[in-house]
Amino acid sequence: MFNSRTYIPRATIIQDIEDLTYDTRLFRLKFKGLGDCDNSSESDYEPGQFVQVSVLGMGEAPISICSSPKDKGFFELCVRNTGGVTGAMQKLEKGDEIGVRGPYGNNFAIEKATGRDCAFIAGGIGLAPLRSVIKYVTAKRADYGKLAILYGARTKEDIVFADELSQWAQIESVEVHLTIDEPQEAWTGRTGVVTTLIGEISDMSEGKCFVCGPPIMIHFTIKELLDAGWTEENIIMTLERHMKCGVGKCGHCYIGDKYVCTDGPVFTYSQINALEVEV
Amino acid sequence: MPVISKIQIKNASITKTNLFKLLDLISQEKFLIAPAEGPDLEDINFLPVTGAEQICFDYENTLVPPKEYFFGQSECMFSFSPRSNESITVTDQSEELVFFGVRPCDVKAIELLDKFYERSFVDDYYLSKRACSVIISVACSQLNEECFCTSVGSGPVLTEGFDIQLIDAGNDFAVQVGSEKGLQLYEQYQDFFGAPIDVDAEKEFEKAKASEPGFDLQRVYDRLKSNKVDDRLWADIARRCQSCGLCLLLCPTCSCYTVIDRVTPNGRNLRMREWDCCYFEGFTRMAGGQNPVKPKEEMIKRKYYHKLVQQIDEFGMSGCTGCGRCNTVCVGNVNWLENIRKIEGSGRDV
Ligand SMILES: Cc1cc2nc3c(=O)[nH]c(=O)nc-3n(C[C@H](O)[C@H](O)[C@H](O)COP(=O)(O)OP(=O)(O)OC[C@H]3O[C@@H](n4cnc5c(N)ncnc54)[C@H](O)[C@@H]3O)c2cc1C
Ligand code: SF4
Ligand code: SF4
Ligand code: FES
Repeated sequence: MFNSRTYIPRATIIQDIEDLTYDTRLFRLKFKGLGDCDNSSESDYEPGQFVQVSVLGMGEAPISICSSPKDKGFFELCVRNTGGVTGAMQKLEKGDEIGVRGPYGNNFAIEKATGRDCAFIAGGIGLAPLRSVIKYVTAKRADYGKLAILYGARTKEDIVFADELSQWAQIESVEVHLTIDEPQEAWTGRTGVVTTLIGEISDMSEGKCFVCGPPIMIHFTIKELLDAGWTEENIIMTLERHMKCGVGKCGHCYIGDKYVCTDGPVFTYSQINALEVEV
Repeated sequence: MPVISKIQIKNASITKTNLFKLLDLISQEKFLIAPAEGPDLEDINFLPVTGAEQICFDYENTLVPPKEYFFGQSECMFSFSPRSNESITVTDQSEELVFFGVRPCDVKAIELLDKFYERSFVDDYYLSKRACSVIISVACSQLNEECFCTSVGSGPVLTEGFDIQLIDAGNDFAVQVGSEKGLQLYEQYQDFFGAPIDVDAEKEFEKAKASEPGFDLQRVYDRLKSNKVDDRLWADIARRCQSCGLCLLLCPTCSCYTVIDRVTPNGRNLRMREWDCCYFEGFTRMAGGQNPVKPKEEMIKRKYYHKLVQQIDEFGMSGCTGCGRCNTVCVGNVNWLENIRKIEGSGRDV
């Protein structure tokens, strides 16, 4: 745990901020007062886990860790402005402080994908949690089969991690496919929603597919994946729920017989079906 | 269903006159919380008392359950200065709290909350208050119209999980000490107690059971778990429920909360947690306004499924302890007990 008492945030210093889009920023954080911070051991968090970010006076919001456990000495959060806490974070500067507690939740169970093809399908800011696992698998490239990244954004201005997407495309047998919803001036790439890219990975349906994005995108992506022959077991997704505590106490994320914050947020589609959740 | 166990750390008795004197002394020496009439309201609630004459001895149960002393309606998690996370200060409970007059259903509810807050991640706020408290509970000798403890295994007499239990035996109370904490309190005030007297708890239970419009919890669990409840029941409740939240706010086992930062000009900045209700419209609404728990029937089902299936699975005890509070307060005439009995009966003929 980053923090020692359940609800008490631990101070971190913003080492760096990168504006990824007009409303989304990447924060590089380091624990305060501990030199290079103590999340230097890899096991401190797993791809797919999240933290509760605290802006004192505004409140808290759950945010996925988007760096890889292999990154040492810091961790990163990619935050989109949607309201109170995330809005306040847009005004922060390098050197400012924010509170963090966690890491919480389960993870992408990436060890189960060893030796297999992996596809990553992301919509919008859904690339953030997947970035953690993409960075992790590309750092251990030899352990996995073919990798494919399908990413859809609303407009070209909404694309996050554009540089990294092109870097990943350079890695051996990693495919990257991008699309934006509608044609736009100065855009020569593909257009249409992200599901139109699924044809590109039709030969990978024996592998694992990680899906992350807004509910409507998840809904259609899963439908197409099932039609294309992927099994429910091999479709892995994150469920987003309103969360207040992240530690299985406030009840906001409870669904079926699960607390999304502690039992999730990562579920296979077969688990989601058992929960009788509409996606 | 409850087996009356005779294993107690200690058995004793106390006369009613002595009980009054004992409580009077405790109220002066310690922080005593007991059923009492509020200053302006006629409702009986758990209130701090400074003399035994303030205690109401003739009550069915309190309007608000005692959980508010461990999990406050609005409580401060920590205070801070907005500029630094290192300025955070937490104040833990340290003063001893003695409770008198808690009913078995509410003791059971506290037992459930203990399990809930102890399982990871631990909730220090709740647990530190619990650690400072000792409860003298009073078994029920008659069942009230709206309650149904015998169906959910939480009364009218407790078999375990209490500190000190009093059972009415006419001029005296039989006294059972059931925990180390209870024993400490007992030993401190030993002079007030007399020799053990016999009470037939088993008979009390049978008597209560016979008078109660009960149900078979196992069957209710099976119906809910296998999703065999007539959808018209959920539609009916959804239509009646006004989302006022009272049934949940007054429930001794409900534990949902929201978190709010309060920043005041005088520099008292607090992160608060406050009771919240899964029957409030905004409870599950997310960024962008999308609400995954729709339609309202889904929202309604949650209370039934959570208390009568999930908590039984997780904690081995019913998440409803049968106090009956939610039956009486509903503005939309939603009757929890009646609905449980409808669930029990649903599909019986098919
Ligand atoms: C496990 C998880 C991981 C997430 N990862 C990221 C991430 O990496 N990057 C990112 O930008 N966002 C992420 N989110 C979404 C983010 O938590 C919400 O956008 C944020 O909580 C909104 O908080 P706010 O204070 O800025 O907005 P508010 O002013 O509180 O609310 C704006 C709107 O958001 C709703 N809302 C409030 N709290 C939440 C909540 N906890 N979850 C969902 N909706 C909420 C409100 O009902 C309102 O409609 C994640 C959410 C979850 C559950
Ligand atoms: S008391 Fe009645 S109206 Fe209010 S939330 Fe409960 S069921 Fe709905
Ligand atoms: S659900 Fe109703 S009867 Fe059951 S414990 Fe809660 S308030 Fe009491
Ligand atoms: S976020 Fe509070 S219980 Fe899951």
